[in-house]
Formats: sequence, C-alpha cells, structure tokens
Amino acid sequence: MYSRQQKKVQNSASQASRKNQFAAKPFIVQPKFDRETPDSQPEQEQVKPQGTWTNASMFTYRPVPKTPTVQRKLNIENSENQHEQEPEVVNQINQIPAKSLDQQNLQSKTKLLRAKSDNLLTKPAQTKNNSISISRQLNTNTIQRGIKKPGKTGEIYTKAPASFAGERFNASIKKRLQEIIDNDEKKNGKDYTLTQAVAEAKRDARAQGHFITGRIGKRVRDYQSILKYFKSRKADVTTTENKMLRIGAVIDAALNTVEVMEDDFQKVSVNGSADQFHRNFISTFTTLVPSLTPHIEGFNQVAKDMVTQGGGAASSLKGSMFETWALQNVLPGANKRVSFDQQGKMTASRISDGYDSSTKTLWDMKHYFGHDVPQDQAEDYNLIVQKGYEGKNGEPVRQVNYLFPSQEGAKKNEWLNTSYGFGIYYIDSSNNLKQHK
Amino acid sequence: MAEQILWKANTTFHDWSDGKFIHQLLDQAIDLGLLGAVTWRKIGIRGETEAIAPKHIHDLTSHLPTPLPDEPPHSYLEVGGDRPFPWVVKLSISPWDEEDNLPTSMSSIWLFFAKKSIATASHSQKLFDAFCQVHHPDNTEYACIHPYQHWLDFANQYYQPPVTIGPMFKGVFWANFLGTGHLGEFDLEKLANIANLETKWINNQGLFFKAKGNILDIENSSHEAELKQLTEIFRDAIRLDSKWR
Repeated sequence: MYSRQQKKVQNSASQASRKNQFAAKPFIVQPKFDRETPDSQPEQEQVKPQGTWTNASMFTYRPVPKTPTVQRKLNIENSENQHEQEPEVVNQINQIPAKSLDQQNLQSKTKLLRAKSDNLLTKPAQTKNNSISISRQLNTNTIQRGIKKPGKTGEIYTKAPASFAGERFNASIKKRLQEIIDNDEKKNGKDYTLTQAVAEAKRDARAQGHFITGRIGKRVRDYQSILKYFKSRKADVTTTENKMLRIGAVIDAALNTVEVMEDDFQKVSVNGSADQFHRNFISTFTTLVPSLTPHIEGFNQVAKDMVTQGGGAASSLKGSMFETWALQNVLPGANKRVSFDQQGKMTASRISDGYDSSTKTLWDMKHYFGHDVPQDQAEDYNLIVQKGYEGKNGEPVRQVNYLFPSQEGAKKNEWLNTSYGFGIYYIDSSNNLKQHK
Repeated sequence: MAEQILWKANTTFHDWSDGKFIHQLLDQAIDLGLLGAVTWRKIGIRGETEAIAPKHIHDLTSHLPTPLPDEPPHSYLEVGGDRPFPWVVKLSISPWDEEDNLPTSMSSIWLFFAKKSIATASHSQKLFDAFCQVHHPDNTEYACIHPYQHWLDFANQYYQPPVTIGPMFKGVFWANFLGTGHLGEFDLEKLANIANLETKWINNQGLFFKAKGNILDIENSSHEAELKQLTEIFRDAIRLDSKWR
C-alpha cells in the first residue's frame, strides 16, 4: 500500500508543497529520530522489584495452568517483522552454509552459536571497565576466549563492576545481583562467583512468583533432551532437528530459566508428518513457557534470555509466547483470533492476536520495548475500524487495542493513539493491565 | 493529565492539510485563554520532546513535518506550553488522496488544557459556544470536549462497545458534534427532541449536543447517569443498515 500511496498521495515534501500550505516551508530544525533498538541490543527496563522474596511458593508444586486453545500465529523461520533484526554476530553464524553441517554437526554448531552469543553479552565498553579482555576469532568457525581476572564467571567478585552483568538480566535480577555482590558477601562472609550470584538472584525471582518452580518430574534442560524424548516416542523429528539449527539456542535459553518437565510434552501428538510434529511441538512450547512465568518480570526475563542467546531467531517465538502470556494472565476475554481478508485499500490479510466479542475489540500484543508497531499493520487495522470491515466469520470491530510488556513500549507507540485512536496498554510492575495515558 | 480537559476532533472525510480548520480551532482556544506560547515540540512519531524559545502556535502548525517512508503517512506534531496553564496539542494529519477525494487515513487533533482555564459556568458556556463556532459538517466528522481522565475512565467502564467506533463516538460526553461521515449512520428521527440534551442542528448534516450543566460538574454522579441514558438513545438510533450496527 505504501508504494501505491507514494504514487497517488501527496505525501512527500515536493508533492505536498503543491497543495499543502503547511508544507511550503520545512522545519528549520530537522526531527531527531530515535531509531529503534533491536531486541538483541540493550534496552531500558522500567520494571521494579516488588513484594518479598521469602515466598514459600517455590517449594510448592503448582501444576501448569490450563492453556488457551487459540491457534498460535507462528513463523519461526522467516520473521515478517522488519524490526526483528539479528545482531551482527548471529548473522555471521547464520551465514555458515547449512549444507556444510550434517546432523552430527548440529550440536557443535549450536554450541558455537551459544559461545558466540555469550560474547555478545560483553560489550567493548563493559569489557574495558571490567578489565575483561575477550578476543574472538570468527572466520574459521572456531572461537577463542581469553578472559583475564576479574570477570570470568568462575572467579570471585570482591567488588561489583560498574555495569554489572551488562544488559543480560532484567531490572529486578540486576538489583538483586548487585545486592548479593555488595552486601550479602559482607554480611555473610560468603564469597560468590558470578555464576552463584546469578543463580541466587534467579532463585529470588522465582520466590517472588515470577516463575513457577518446585515442579515434580524430570526436568528438560536443553533441546537435545527434547529431541531424545520424542525420538523415544517414535516421532519423526527430522524437521524439528533442522529447525533447531536456528532456534536451538533460543529453546535452550528458555529451558535454562523455566522449569519445563518431560511430562509437559506428553500430550504432544507424534502422529503425522515431521512438519506436523514440529508444529505440534512449537505450539506446545510457546504455550508452556508463558504458563510457567505468571509474572511479567519473569516472562520478560525469559524473553530477554532468548533474544540474548538466539538473536533474531527468538523474535517470532517470544512474540507468540507474549500473546499466550497476555491471554492467559490479563486478557482471558480476548481469547479468540479473527481473520480478515484483504479488503479495499488494506495492504494484506490480517489475523488478530485476540478479539473480545463483548466489546468488539481487536487486540494485538507486541513484545516491544523500543520498536515501533509496523505502520502497515496499524493502517490496515484503522481501515478495518473506519470502514466497518468484518472478520471472516462476521466479527465486527469497533476498537483496536495494542498491548506492550512495559510502559516504555507503550510510550514509544503512543502515536497509535494520537493518529488512530487505538487504545495503548501495558503490564505494570505489579502484573496489572494498565492503559497508557 | 488528571486536571486536564480534552478537546478532540477527527475526520476521515475532510482535508485538514491546508491548515484552515486547525488554525480555526487553535485561534478559538487562544481567544478563550486556553493556550499561550509554545515552549516545546515533538516532531514526527519518533521525535524527541525539545524545548524551544516561545513561539506562536501558528509558527509551528503552518509547517507540518513530512513523515519518513517507514512512518505512517500522517504529518505528526506535538507542541505544548505552560501558560496560562500547562497545555498540549497533538496533531496527526492524513494526506489527501486526489483520486478518491478523501483522506487516505484519519486526521486527528487533540487539545489538552487545564481545568483551571474554565473556572466558571460562564466560561463553560463560552467554551461550548466556541466549540459550535469551530466545528461544521464541512470540516469535522466527530468532535467532543470532556474532562480527560473522566473521558478515559467513563468510556472504559460504560461505553464498551462504543456507539460507533472507539476512535470517535464512544458515547455521549459533555460537548459533542457529529458531522459528515457520522451523522448519516443514525436514524435522525430518533435523535429529535431528546430530553436533557441541548442540541443544535445544521441542516441535518451536523448535530451539536451538550449534556446538562457546565463542564466542571459533568463528573458528578447525577450527570454520569444522564450521560449513560443519552448514550443508549444514540446507540438505539444507529440505522439498521449502518456499517457500525
């Protein structure tokens, strides 16, 4: 639609000047555009720790909540979102010819991916500040790390670095990490390695109800275990194995943070083709992870881990998970997808993330902190409302609302309210749905 | 924004890119003492708020920014000031499609001004009079004035689903206008002689209506009940063949 508009619509400065007296003189000061930051880049988090972390729920078995039966909108391999960009190193990794890797190389490549992604965690400025020197050699598919004290995860920190742990953790975990390093060590006379401190901080987060923990059964810790489990059930995992070349690190990042048990996959049907099985598995996984992270801070932490480890490959997966999270936790009444044919001047057919029939409201969930909602989608939703276009099953739409994981994401996209009258919502640090004003 | 009043208008039928309507509305607001010099601006949807030397609002609204290719096609501008009290204007102006002779999207203006600016019942009446002078079927599809926080909360609680669409006519507020593109969706006979509503018709093409009382009292519970009743009358008056039925 945009190219069409550029032909027909007075949208450029030169075109507008012919008709629009506003456009006769440009602004003297050019706008400063705050370009969006890819998810894999550091993002400001406004979440605050709250509540006590002595909650005993971590010792209590909590079953996985009943999951919604919505059809997930997944496209793991090809993200349609132009904003979901991969970090440079991940791109380099993905440029390795897939055909050069046979199945035996699958695991080693993923390890390589993880190792390279690990290096992303430490930015040049931070490495300098922390007296950490990391050298990498990427051109031969190998990686060498030379880490000097202090900073190695196994080393003992006696003083917290200025930018401790970079942007790897969300605000509440970073705060707790800082407390552990700065205070607990002195109080308890206990030395922590970085690894131990991170583990304790995450335990605290779990105790706050950010994650469901203390579950019974055999925990699954990496995608290899998942493949092994399904192979034992005679599933055709060919497609899934191939897909893991791209998303294996993402799956592992989620499994590292969330307690997923082997039994959680019992209901996944292993009948049908390899492609069908893969869809079944992904559908279950994208529902399972949000159900185990009932607090938005927990969910955001998992999402951040996934992006840190998997870059752009994580975007679609975490997007689907956020939809599920929202429908499970704050928008149970919107648990319906609505499909719209391309009509009039819409640029594409559309499928909503949610729809509340009682209020005739279409919902779209975006796990964005610093991104803009794609303007073509917003324009199409605007047409659906203004023109009265109905869904394929006759669903009317009178309002469109967007949901973001934080106030930061909502503020970034408040233009959707100004330009289109869309409602802008976010999840606050107390896990409540809030309207951005 | 809790102590602010919202004056908003929208259209999907009129060309606001020539600036006439925008300046007409802003001039009325200046005459009423609702806004003074601009001291900050934000240009484009990704712009950052920047302080500027005091300027007349026309200096900014006469030169609307051109959006970048990956942005919505609207000219987008936010400006504000602190005098006489804090105020904000947000503009989103759709380009005009010569082929269809319509805007390609929706144009909107949001004016937020302080409740303190409307201190008396007399001021309140002058505000409604100005509202009636600004809007017309030739320039506006929908407009309203209402205390902003109450507008948000009341609509969320009682106007779901909206009478027509959420971006425009959610329900009856203190001052309301339905013009081209909106009034035609209603059975006009059902809107004649509505009790507890001050109305002003413009040739069956436009309808102004104001709830009883002044804007400072509109948040009282008795007025809220009236607003809800009036909204149901409008809801019932939507034509059976309306696209928003």
